[in-house]
Amino acid sequence: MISRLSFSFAAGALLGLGLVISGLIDFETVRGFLDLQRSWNPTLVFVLIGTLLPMQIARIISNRLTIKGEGPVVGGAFSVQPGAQPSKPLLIGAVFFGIGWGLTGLLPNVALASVVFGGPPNILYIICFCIGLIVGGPFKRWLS
Amino acid sequence: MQIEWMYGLLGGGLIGMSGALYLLTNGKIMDVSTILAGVLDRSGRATLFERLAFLAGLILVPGVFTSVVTPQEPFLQASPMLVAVAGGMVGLGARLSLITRIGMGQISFDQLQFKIILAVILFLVTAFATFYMVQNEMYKV
Repeated sequence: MISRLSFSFAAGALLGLGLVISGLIDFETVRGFLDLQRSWNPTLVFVLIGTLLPMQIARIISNRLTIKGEGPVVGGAFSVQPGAQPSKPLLIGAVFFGIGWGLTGLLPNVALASVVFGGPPNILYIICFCIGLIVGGPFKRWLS
Repeated sequence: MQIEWMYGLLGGGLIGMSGALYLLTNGKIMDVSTILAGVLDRSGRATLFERLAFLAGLILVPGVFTSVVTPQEPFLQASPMLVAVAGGMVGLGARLSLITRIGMGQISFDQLQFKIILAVILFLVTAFATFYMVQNEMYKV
């Protein structure tokens, strides 16, 4: 149990550190990516490129461990949920997410990582994000 | 700009490593929206403390780092209605789709089906179009 919690905390901490180091914690960096009219900021693209290598290596390792009949460090089996996603919620969700992102330029990971210093608008965004997540559960089942 | 993209790559590498750590230790794909949704609607009761530990790490490290190294000011200068609608739509969209997973590089190349590529295109087009319209005050919320 302790190791499971420690690994989860470490993963969250590493994600938070990655958001800080990459500059995504600076709201203007993400907005700069969306702003094609002024000086476009491609940092978000480099962040995405940076995420790919460690994740692909981890996927290869997890696939090999699964073939050998082994599981993750804390036990159990790998649950990677391959692309069994129904098309309708996937595509409708993509549009909702795109509109929501375009309205302010704020991404949910960044909003959560900024909760300490983001101020009241950021808190309001997170509360409404949480409501959206809750409503999205039954809505997804209905769409599927 | 050169420094910015180098930090972007480095930070992206750390984000990828966090996903790799989560996968190889806990056996699951790291998706912030799914982790938080499981806490909120109790669908993740069995792994509640694991989810809370993850969220604590995500909130604490940037909080400490930015208060000590690079102080940040409150941002998001927009009307409360706009912020509320944006948060709600992002939450709804994140729950319905895999977008937060793809955005953080948590989806492997062997899962790249046509519908996922189409979802990414739709997501980007609507994001750019909405941002353009808001910036040019083509509509107000």
